[in-house]
Amino acid sequence: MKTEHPVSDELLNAFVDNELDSAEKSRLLGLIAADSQLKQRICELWQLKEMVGNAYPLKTSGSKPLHSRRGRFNSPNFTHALAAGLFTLLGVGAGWLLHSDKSLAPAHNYARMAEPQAKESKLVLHIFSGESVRFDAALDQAEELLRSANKLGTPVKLDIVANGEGLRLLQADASPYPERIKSLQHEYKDLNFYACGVTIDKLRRKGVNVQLLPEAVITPSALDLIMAREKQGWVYIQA
Amino acid sequence: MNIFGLFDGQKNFIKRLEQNQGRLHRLALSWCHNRALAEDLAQEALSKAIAKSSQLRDLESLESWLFGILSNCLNDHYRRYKEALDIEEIDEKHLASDGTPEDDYQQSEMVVRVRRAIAKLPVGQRQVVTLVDLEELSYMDVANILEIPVGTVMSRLCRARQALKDILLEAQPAQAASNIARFK
Repeated sequence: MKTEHPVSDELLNAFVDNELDSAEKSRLLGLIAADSQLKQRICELWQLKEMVGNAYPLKTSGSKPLHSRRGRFNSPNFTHALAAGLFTLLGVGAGWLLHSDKSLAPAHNYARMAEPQAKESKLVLHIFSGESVRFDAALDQAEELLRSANKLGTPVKLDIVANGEGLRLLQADASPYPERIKSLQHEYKDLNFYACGVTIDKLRRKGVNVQLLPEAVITPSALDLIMAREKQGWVYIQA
Repeated sequence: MNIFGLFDGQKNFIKRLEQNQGRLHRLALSWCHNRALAEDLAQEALSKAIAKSSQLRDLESLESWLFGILSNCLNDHYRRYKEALDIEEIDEKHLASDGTPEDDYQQSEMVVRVRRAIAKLPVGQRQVVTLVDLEELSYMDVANILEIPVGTVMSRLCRARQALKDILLEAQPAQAASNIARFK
């Protein structure tokens, strides 16, 4: 496919599909940060991924994707992915995204990795899916992570960033979990919910009256926030 | 392994097959967009999986293995029809509708639009984009399942998403429909 832009579509696709190594990701993130067109293209690819992902809902239970390498919250490996994110941060520094080799590793390895260090861990959870089942699983596992970390005395900062269809989680008139979010926010001071300003603007231009839950903070751009967090060493996980 | 171990292994295998029935059917539907055909392909893939169970070395790779069998079943189906109909013609005929009007009514407008857009993709692109976005598989897994190079996975995915973008995010529906015909 021909494009005038120096960054190929193949590369951007690989980025949204979590196929790049950390060096490639870092290089691309630098380019994205300086180029609003690239940001737009990334957002469109996320949107398309989401549309395809939602186009064929499963009708039977117990058969969700098992080998996702993108750390989906509704995957049985999500707890491991979170644990990997939490504990690898304590070690030699985590990459931009968690890969399946980490998420599939035995849980006891993470515990062992965590023993020698006790620094603060930081994770950014990105929700761009509008599926309630993903919201549900994401909140379940986020809560489990925060509870476990509290019990262990390990400080954790967790930012939940919603854009695209995922913004519904934080919309006052559409969120399936307003009370739960309120309660989580009340209980865990280092948990933050961010709503993407770009998505909100887009919805408002379409005539949607977007009202957010009181716990949600508007960030100008979800993508910018995620990139900024990555530069600060946070671990990114896609919901 | 003792005899009880063998039974346990077989039990686990069957259990995992049962758990994956829904995914197999969903994937088949996303490829052929014809409920009856999707059901047949999924059943055929399951039957073959049971017959070939001894070939599966690692239960953890069952899903990829199953999807590979499903892909072969789809290819066989197209081959069987090739003498009578061109593959693209089969696509158009079988993919024009993905279900009954009642189904369409129950689905959101967006889901219907996305399915129709996917149905207009060449089958190779359709397989790649659904394996990546629906089953959340890596490019390497998709390459292994479809028995194509990773580079082909990437280029097909790229063309598929560009075509979907043209239909779903940019062009008017009528114009997009004509654009898609140019894609291969």
